Amino acid sequence: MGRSTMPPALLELSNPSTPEAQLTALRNLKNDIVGHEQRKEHAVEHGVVKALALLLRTNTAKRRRGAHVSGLPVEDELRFQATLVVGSLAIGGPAFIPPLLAGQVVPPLLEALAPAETPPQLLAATLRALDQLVDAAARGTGDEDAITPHLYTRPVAARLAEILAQPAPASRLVHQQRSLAARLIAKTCREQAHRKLLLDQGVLDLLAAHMAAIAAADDPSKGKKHAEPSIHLADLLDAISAIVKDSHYNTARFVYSPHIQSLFAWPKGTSGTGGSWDRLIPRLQTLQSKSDPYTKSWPALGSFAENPMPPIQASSSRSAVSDESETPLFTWLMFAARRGEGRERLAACWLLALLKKFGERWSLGDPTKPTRERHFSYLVVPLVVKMIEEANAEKLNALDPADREEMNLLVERSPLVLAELVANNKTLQSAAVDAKILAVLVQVLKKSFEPITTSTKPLWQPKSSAPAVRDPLVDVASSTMGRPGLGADLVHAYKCRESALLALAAIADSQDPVRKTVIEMGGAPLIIDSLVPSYAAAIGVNSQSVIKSPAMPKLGNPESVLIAACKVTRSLSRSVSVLRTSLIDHGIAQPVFDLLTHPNLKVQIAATEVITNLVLEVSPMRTEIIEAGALATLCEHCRSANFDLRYGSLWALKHLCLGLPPHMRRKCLDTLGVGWLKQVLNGEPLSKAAPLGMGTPNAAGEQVDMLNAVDEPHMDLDEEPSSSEDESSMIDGIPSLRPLPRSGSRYTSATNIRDRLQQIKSDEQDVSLSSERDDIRIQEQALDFVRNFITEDKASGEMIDHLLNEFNRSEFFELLDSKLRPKGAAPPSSDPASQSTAGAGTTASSYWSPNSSRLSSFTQSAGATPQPNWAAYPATDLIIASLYILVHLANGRPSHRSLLISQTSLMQHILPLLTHPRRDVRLPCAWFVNNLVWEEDSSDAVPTRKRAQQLRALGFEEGVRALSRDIDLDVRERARTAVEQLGKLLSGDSRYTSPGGNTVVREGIGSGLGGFRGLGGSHQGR
Amino acid sequence: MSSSTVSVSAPTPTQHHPFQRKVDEVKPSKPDIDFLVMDYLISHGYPDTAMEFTKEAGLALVEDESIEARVEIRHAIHKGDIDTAINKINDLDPQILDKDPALHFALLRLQLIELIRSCTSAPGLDITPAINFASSQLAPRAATNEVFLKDLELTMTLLIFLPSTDLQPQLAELLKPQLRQEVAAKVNEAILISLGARGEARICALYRARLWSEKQAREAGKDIPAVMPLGLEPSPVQSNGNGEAADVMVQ
Repeated sequence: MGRSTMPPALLELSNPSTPEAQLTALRNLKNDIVGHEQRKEHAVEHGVVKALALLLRTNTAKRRRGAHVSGLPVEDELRFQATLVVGSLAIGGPAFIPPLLAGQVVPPLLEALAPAETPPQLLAATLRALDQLVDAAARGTGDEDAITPHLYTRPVAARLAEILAQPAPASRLVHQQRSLAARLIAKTCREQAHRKLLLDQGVLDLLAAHMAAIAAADDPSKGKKHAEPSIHLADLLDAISAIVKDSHYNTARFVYSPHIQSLFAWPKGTSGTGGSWDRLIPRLQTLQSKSDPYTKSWPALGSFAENPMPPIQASSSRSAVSDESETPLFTWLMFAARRGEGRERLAACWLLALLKKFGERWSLGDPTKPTRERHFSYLVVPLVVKMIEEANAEKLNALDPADREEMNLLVERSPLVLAELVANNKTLQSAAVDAKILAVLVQVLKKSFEPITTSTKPLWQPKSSAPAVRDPLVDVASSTMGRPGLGADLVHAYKCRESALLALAAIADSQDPVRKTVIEMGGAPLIIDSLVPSYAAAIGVNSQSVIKSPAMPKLGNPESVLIAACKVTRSLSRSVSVLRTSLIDHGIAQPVFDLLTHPNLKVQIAATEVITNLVLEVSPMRTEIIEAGALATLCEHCRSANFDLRYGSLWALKHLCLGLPPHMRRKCLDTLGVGWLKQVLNGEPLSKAAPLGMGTPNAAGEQVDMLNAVDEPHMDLDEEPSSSEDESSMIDGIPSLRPLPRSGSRYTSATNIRDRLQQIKSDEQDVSLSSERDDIRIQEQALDFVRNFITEDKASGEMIDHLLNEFNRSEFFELLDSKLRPKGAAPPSSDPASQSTAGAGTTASSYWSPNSSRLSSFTQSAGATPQPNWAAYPATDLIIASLYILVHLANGRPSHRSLLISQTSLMQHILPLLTHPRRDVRLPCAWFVNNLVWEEDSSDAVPTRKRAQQLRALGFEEGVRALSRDIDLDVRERARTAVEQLGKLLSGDSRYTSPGGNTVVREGIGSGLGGFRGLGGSHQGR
Repeated sequence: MSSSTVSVSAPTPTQHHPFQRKVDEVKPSKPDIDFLVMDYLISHGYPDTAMEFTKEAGLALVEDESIEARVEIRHAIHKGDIDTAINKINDLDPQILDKDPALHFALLRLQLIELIRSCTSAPGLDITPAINFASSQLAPRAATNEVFLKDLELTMTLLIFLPSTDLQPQLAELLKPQLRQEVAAKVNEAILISLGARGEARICALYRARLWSEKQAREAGKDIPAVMPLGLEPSPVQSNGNGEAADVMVQ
């Protein structure tokens, strides 16, 4: 037995005599290699892969021609056995993947995924073999998953859909096939292209239908049924989540799919309640009366044994929460999460987290934010927290292999679910902290660094292995083992580390006390250790035994962990005190800086985002990083082909620039290149046909398109469609203004749904829209960079001069002007000459168009005219950023102030902004006027009075007077100072200045305001 | 299988306890009970009984392709024909054993025990096959795990003592049919899980839930009868219905 039996079986396989003999050989081979890695390796080295591929393929070909076969004739049995052998080889690990791929084993397996042609057992075995191949490949050291690309082709996706579409008899095999197909999807669907392919093939609809079928059994209005809760639910939910993740459109397709809509429709006429579905979860509401029917369904003893909820009636009775329900779909998923355990619970929570994110962006008749938060923080977050705790407390060695596998998965995945749930939501973050999750996560992190003790010892060999004598006839590629990859335990440790880091990053995202707690619990050194990249070479060269040895040296971290570590570092560095204490104590700067030049682009981006916070003026690491040469690296990255890196690097530079000595700033601008900056400020060339894009007809056409999306007004552009966590604090002020329908409009009719889907789709997939959005985001950074560039502690105006010299002066003002005027109001912009060279005068006259007539009427009767059409303006953030540049320009020397006022067109375009609905726009306007009428010294008296007169002529006196009655205190106070000063100047008493008032203004500009925007605004922005 | 015929209304001394009255008020629906019984028959592999029961209770037959194979595998293990059993398991899904070295080892050890038994059944028989098998199949695996190694060593000592009528209890255990039954039950569970089904009959979980809730209720000092027999115990009156009783059902 053992080795000795191998050659005969292999011999028979490579030189088949009869199918029967072949079959016997194949079965013997299989029995031999199961659970025995050395024999698997041996078989591969003797060329078994080619033989297997041949068996899988020839029979496929025969099948095509052959008659319909029932049962399993010899050919099918051969294929079946060959498939089982392939699966068993794959269990051997990543080393088996290269020979299997080289031997062309995968294509015939994929061919076999045809329920109409392939016998059901064979189909199930094929799916299982693919699943094992995918598992093995996932443990490999290569970046790319070798199997996935084979799966995501149109024919294969269509076959997967076919498998899912099979009618469901009472056969376990069909259920099993579906489940396996769903699992395969859940494991491999990672890219948008994959998701789109599956969506196009109808896979998502089929999965939704199956889910709805399972959910229907729980429908309280339909009475009791005897269907058992399906064991396949977890796979279905995971597959759905994999397809809807990171895509609002895909999520919408799921939510609005017919099966989901018909089952989970809101009952008519009962707005605000989820109808009978409500009965599935405890009601989280105000006082419960004694006759409450719910107390019957939810007796005090607790009908759900695993219900970990604290008694909530007490707290809910105090805070008068509206009597609102969750949507039925959410309700059922919460019910499923509470009822199920293990993977099923996790899968339900994961889908809930993804749907919640969608609901935040595209409300679908969702309840109000407090209601949702309440449900999530009482019903979902504690569940996940408990799952993390329990999964990590489990003694793994005491479990069956199947249970252990599931438990490992829970340990790896549950923190990710928590991270997704609490992302960008303070209430839920607090709920997680209250559930005492931080200590657990830090513990998980710590454990992931422990040397791996459960390493499997190699099998004992009866004979010392003779040096392999290669059969020259055996194909080399398909008989050479690949790299052993990482041990399963090590991969598990990495995954745990990554998910714990991500969960910490999400929870510590917004609250300082949480960040401090993480540090106090000893998180910092662990995070620093997670920032050390791995030495890929060490893994590549090492033999399997070394990898698995318990004395394994610290191998560093794979890229996914590095990225996660960067994220948590970024979260923590938002706290100035943590930044100044723990992070510097642990020397965070160097490892992060090193990652800036990591070969992987995603790591670079993540590191850049951390650097952004570390180079702030308040950061003690600033000097260290600058001395290490960050400036050059960041400038170089600004020219990267990757938008995110470009964007992040410019953001970091913006922070870096503030407070830098003048010569360094000049160097920074030189390295960055004025030409490049102009290009960015004018709009990305990539997304625009013409170099000076903003005013070209082409660009204008795009604007019109965008505006036609009626429900999708401009302010939403400020928000990133996905992964918006970066900008969370930048957009804090916006949601209140978001004109999306929060409730009431429930998209029920078919046409409504179609429109809605179309809207979501174009928002997400329209290339011009998204490049437009990116363009605005990076322009904003560029504008902020300019602002910080000219910001000085002592207003010497030196940097302003430098900037105006470097830029063409008129070009610079035209550029600012273009950000402040309505887009349609620039007809001459088609004339490139006026765009690039026109002085203020010429443009002003050419702007005498519909909008400016309104403008003039505005000047006459300040504020009484109808509001300008704000939708026609550039993105509000661009307006604000441009205004702050002007504020700082006006803070320069008196000559700068005069220069500004002489820009007639610009000034005329600023005036209507004084009535902008957002205080964020009005405030810099008030500052601007304030600064313009500032009198530097006695020699400046005459010019100042002249400026005041010019301002009056332009209509600013009226405008600022209106602002002095603003509802916002800041705006009001600033405007009052300006009005006062204007009044003094214009009344002729120029010599009198109130010292007190002026000091306030000075300080406000120098540190308060400049600091507010430069630091406050972007400081917490990462 | 006696469990399915147990009468719920067996007279007990606690009949008039208020809790008992509550119990009596609950009328379990027949479909529920039938479902449980059917589930037990299918998952524990009684296809013929299941068929009969389907007819009697008027249920739709749940098709389960694996049931025949599971029955055959169980019979093979009970018979001591481990080679056939392993063969059949691998035909269903090789990853059952590929991913569960402990189960695989347990099966191979059973096979070794059978080999030892047969080659020591008469004096003068060649014991080489047993030794060969042990060195080629079990020894490599034993090196990976302390427990395996101990088990193998213990098993090999059988070679020295057999045939014997007076074995140490430790060794005698190895020859008892119970060992086969245990392994067979584990195999059945592993197959069910690999096929995407629940590993055990639902009634087992219900039974555990019942024991657990009784324990919880007692700890919380709820007013329940002092003795709450399930009717599964060999002599209901003496049994106190906790812990050990689980084995009766779950074995």
